[in-house]
Amino acid sequence: MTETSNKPVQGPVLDSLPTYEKAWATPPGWRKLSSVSHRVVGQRFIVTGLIFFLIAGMLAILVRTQLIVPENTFLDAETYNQVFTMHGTLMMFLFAIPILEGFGVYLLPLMLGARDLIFPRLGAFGYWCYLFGGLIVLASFLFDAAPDGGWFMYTPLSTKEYTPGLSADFWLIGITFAEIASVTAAVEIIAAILCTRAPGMSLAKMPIFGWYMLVTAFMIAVGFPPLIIGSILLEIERVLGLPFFDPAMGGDPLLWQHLFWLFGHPEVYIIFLPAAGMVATMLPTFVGKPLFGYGFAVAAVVTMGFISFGLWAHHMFSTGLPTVTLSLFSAASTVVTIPTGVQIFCFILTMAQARPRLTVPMLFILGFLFIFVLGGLTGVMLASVPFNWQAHDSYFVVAHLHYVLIGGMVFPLIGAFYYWTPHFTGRMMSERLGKWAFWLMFIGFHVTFFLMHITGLRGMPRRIATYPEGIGWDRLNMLSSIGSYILAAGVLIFVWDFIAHRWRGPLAPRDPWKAGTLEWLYAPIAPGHNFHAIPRVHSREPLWDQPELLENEAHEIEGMLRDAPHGRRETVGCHPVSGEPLQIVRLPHPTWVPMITAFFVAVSAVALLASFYYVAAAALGATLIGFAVWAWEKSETGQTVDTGPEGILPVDIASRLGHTYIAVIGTLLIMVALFASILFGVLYLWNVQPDFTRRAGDPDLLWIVLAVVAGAALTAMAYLARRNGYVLYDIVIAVLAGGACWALYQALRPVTPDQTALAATLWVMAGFVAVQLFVLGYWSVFNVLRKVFGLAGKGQRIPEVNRAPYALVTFLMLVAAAVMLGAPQLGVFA
Amino acid sequence: MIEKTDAEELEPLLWGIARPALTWALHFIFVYAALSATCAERAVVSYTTAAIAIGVATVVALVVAGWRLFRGNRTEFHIAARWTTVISLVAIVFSASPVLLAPACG
Repeated sequence: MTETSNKPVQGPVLDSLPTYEKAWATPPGWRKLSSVSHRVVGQRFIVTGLIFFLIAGMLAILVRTQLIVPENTFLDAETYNQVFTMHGTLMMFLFAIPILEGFGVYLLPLMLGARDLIFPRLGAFGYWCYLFGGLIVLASFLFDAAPDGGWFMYTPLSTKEYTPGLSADFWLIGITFAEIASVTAAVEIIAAILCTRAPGMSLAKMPIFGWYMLVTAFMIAVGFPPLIIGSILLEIERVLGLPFFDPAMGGDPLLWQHLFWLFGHPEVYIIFLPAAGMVATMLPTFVGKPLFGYGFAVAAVVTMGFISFGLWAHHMFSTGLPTVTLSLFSAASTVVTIPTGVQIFCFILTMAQARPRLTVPMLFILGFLFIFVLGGLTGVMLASVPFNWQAHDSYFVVAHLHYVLIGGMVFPLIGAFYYWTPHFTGRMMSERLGKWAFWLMFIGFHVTFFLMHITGLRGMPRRIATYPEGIGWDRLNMLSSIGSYILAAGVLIFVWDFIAHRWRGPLAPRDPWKAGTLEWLYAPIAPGHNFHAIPRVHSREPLWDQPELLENEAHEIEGMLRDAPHGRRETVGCHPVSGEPLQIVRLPHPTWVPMITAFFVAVSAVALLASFYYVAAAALGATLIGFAVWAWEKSETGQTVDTGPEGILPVDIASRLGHTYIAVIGTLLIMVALFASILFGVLYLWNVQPDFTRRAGDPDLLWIVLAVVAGAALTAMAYLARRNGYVLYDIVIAVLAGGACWALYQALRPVTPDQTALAATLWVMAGFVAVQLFVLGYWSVFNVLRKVFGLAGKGQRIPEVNRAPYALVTFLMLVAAAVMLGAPQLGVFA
Repeated sequence: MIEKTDAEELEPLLWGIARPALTWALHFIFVYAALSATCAERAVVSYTTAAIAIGVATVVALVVAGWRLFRGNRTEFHIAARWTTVISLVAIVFSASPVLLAPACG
């Protein structure tokens, strides 16, 4: 065993299990970059997100300094536009979501009783995409091309005509790239939560953080695609001149707003829910009682997840939508307060069960409750259409959104840092500095943002670089700016504490907060594999309800999969609902492939920015090769492992309960959301610009029918191939996918995409289906090669089982596209 | 090994949690689509037709979402299912109310 010292040590590393410990060791030195462990990747997300937060915070200070006095010339108008745009962009895209995902990536396996996330390489790939995407966006400053159109990039301002340089392209390409990280993490989190929980951890016994993250992951899967599609359409319009948002050509700038806010409003909840999940996890620890109303909280989280998708147009109340439509969105915006309120009452009633310990994390939780409730109340005000018209684009809205986002996310997050940092570093952060940080942040926040309500009601609009003297805004702005400096001082103290505690913080004891969840089983720093043996779990707070877990040394606890004589990384795969062991999931060892693959995607993005299209195409080709190398592994399906107390289990099962199948379903959810966003665009343009329906030519009906027939045959083959793994099926599927693509192309040839927005959108729709077909073809060819080279044998049919639903969904998309293409000629959608 | 009883007991409850929320989502999409069909430039259907369709859809949605509201015991998941149902029923009524109260697109 490892010797103890006055420095925190990760472990214990057991000499009696040399093969096992070696298999899970993190590579030393610079080779640590090849690590794909959730502990390493999660910390990367967290630290990178924190750096982006500090940069965005500095930009906020620049904004407040510019506004501290009227007629200020500290920043010119153009720079000011860049600064507030980048502040919003960094905060929303590169800080809030990634850092929360980072906490999810780090904590979920520990809480759920798994040794790693279920697709470690995907997590690592997502991180590198996030980092490279963020760097691309930040690099715009170096080229004096920082985006300046607001974090929402509204059209027509962001079109080539009004933003001719590269600034909007930096935003569109960089952010779309960074979003890959979010959607990949979503798939991984869904599969990890459903498929790798400790034995006995049914969904009803899952820690509440798991429910929050599960719902958040589903929301990301559905909520991000509209913006990805919107960004692609806008970039195509900027590069190729296709008129998606040009009203003169049958387009509509409001289509961008719809697509943006279809993402943008759920995003507020995507940010809020994980933070609330952290609160729901930390609060019971400091109260010493379980969360009040677990069932109520689950109901609230699920309904919030759904209803938050029905609010997007409340950001568009002043765009001229029909009154009845405004009322619909006003109603949905009001009703979402019900589940939010249920959740808040769960927290309040949890506190009512006993006197909470007023630690630093608890202070931040109380700050969260106070600030978020106030923000929620102004949200209800803004849900009212007449009030919204008055307050629209004023500082009242700025105040509201910061109350919701800083109160609902930043305060819980910093509380979470104080709570979980001992797990990262083995040392406690300072209670004294933490209290200073809290009070400075709390006071500074209210001085800054509470006054903005009044500034807004006095008529000050958002996004103005300066203002005239003597119209009632001077003192309010002065005080808001002073408040922002106090707030920043609080943040700096927290950052200092986060850095300095690594050498001056006291060593963290085992379960330092007396928490009930499984991540505190080991004394910090827990070993990289999380568990020497995965224990059976009987409750949501196993460390409270199963005394044997803390009575013994953590590495001596009875459980599954002690040792790994074969030297492979593995964890227990469970039934998605009951949590009972179902299979053994083999996990990858450290590898450079995710980083290199993400690098090629980055090269492709940069080449697109620089208009080096051949380089971009070559980099995309290299990316595909990267994915192939990634998946070029010998199948282990059919092997078995003696798990110890739970008996013998199969490895990597080919089943609808398997983790890869569930990941494919999660991926398909994203694909369907992407397709639905394009479909929304087609129907929207068709509906609001009826004069342009057939102006760009009609698709060829015969080729449409042939494409559908090829798609139907392909799907039938994909389902037949599940029964046996004949290579012939793979070859036929690849050929049919190619044939369907060709037929689709022939069908669309008579339609000129640059003549109308609808025609251009139809081309995009067909292009998306073609990409789906290409994936099926690529998948099938890859399958053939794996079989030819002996990497997959008889009975090892995970790819076939997983490909079938992918083929079915692609076929349904093909049918929907065919209806959209063919119906106008048949008089149905004329 | 898998204890099927756990899964068999929990799966209907999970569906009981998801069904009302999914019903709200489908109902919301229907209401939005019907309003878009009547209030946009193309005016595919009349406002009256849209309002009637939304009224019928609302009744159907309330029945589908509210089904089994009062069944089950007091486990946490039963509570979750019941409260998801209650919140979804309120949300469905809220979604329909503007259409049923307003005389035209406006």
